[in-house]
Amino acid sequence: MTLKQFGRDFRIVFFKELRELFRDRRSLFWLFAPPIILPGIAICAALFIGSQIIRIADEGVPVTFENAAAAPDLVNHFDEADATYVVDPPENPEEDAFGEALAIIVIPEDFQEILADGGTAQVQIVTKDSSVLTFFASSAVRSVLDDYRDDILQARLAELDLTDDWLEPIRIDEGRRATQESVASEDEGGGSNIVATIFLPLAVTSWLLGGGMGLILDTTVGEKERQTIENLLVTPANRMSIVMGKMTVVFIASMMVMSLWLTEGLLLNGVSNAGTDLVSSSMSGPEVLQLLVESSGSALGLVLALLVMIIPFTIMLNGLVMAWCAYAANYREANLFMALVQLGLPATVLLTIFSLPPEVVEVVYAVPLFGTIVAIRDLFSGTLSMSALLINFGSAAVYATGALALAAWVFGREWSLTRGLQ
Amino acid sequence: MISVLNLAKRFKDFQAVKDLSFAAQAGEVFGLLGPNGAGKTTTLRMLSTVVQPTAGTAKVDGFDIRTEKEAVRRNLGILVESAGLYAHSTTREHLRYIGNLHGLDGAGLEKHINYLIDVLDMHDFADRRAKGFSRGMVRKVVLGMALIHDPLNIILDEPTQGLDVVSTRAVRAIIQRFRAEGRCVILSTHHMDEVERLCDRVAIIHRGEILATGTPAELITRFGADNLETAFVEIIGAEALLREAEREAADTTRR
Repeated sequence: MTLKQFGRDFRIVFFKELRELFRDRRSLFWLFAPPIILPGIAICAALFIGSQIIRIADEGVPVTFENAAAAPDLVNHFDEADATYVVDPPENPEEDAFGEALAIIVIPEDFQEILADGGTAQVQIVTKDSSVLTFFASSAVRSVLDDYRDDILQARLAELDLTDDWLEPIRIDEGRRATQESVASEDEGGGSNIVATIFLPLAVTSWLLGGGMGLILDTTVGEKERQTIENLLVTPANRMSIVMGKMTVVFIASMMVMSLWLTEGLLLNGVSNAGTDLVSSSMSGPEVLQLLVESSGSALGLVLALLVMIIPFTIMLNGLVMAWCAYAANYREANLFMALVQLGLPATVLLTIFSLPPEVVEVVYAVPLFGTIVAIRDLFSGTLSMSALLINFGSAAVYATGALALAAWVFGREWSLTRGLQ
Repeated sequence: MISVLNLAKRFKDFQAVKDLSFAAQAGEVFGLLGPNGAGKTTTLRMLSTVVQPTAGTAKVDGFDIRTEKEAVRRNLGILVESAGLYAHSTTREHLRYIGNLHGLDGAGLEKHINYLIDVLDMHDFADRRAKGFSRGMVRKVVLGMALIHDPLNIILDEPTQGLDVVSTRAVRAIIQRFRAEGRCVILSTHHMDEVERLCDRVAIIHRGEILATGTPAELITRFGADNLETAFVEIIGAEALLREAEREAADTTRR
């Protein structure tokens, strides 16, 4: 078997599998639908919620008062605030207690007296329902009430000749310090971003929940199920080149799916980082896009580090799943294992993210599977050092090679190939 | 030429093939007859290098199935009994795929693909994807795949299974042409008339052992039978065949 023959057989199998994949609409759907549809749904939901927030922010929340005469100053405060405006109570409160209002503020009779005596007056916010709109209305009302309370508090402190500091003897500030040699600093998209820290490791394994595993299933145990494997085995083609040809198609598809997830993850990271700027300023579409790209950690180092971790990790997972699928006698047997992996892997990812401490010894980065998950977590926490990245890449490359060799070995064994043959 | 010498195969506790020896010459159609589970398919899988023998060996045009697998595969075409197709590839693409894996390409391969499409009467579905093909259509394509590299040694396991009368006659004509061209054919079938009509010599195999060999006429005479089917029943033993039929019926009921 010359290298030329190996390359030729690899190319033949690769293009045949690629052709089958492009023609198989069901497989394509399950591969690409989750990363396209799920974020689409999330974006629609976010746009809906965002438009409601913008409307509330522009117009203000309509509020009404029960017993407004007991707190004229407070009513004025609400009317003058940007976030709210006061509407008249409905004519028939028995039929419709709210009218135009989204919230009712119930004032006690002795409101003014309690405040004058330096006591604590109790007001109640009553909302219409538990919708998203009502939630934001309630927040706006609470914010205006907080302002009013702060004004009274300042006045009371001034009477006693005291300042805010008197109320807060200790101020707590939280922060995270990246190591000197961390791969991605906060400026580069790293930093303490809990969304990206959780989302991205899950995204890396997401192909398992989508069509990635289905694709491996089809190219390996599918050959047995369709009874095409014997036609293939009686050709002079080298088994390793067959495995590699199949594996490469699966790998390319996996990387495409993961790239989609990762791009979305990075943009999500950007939204999270630039969140306040996006909401507070009135920017045009291209300006928003530019801000998102700038805030999404477009630094080359971050993307490269991700690729360095993901490529061997993907090959390893593909190799292991392919080895099992080559052994399985039929789809049923293969699916049993797949179900365990599909349930177990995301659970393992979440457990790894949350159960391991923020700072781990470097040997953890060399543990199969866990090492990469922890490394991705730490990359987005801004705590991944270059040596940890290299340890992870080196070990993952060894595991990937091992998984590939295992898949090729299983695919070449009589005891695995003849399982399920009729 | 295919020569089999003391070939044996054991699967854990089950001895599928025991000490099998025979030789099929160039220009000869050699029939392998036996009830279900006799060891025919295992023997053919060993000859095609898919399964490794536990003892003995065989040679295809002088190439050992144990040590020269690649050469054996290049010189052998095999039509397996239960073979399927890729749902999203056309007939032509199937033939081209297997041809490419045999190292063929270019105008020569395309010419041979057209020849097989012509001979096996596959024009109607030559450029159709295999999804939804009838059993007969699948059988024709798989036969074409077995013959794509124009092998001198051919193993056909139930070649006419699922084919209509016209296609069956076409396949039989092809087998006769193979003999005329000096190719070596091993034919495994349940159709006695097919064996009588096509095979130069026959080996009756049962429980992994050859019970009798000879020309169909010799076997009929040796066992004082009127035809090959009666001779076959005599050789295998009516009781064994009855048991076989009962087992098959029970299997069908279970399914």
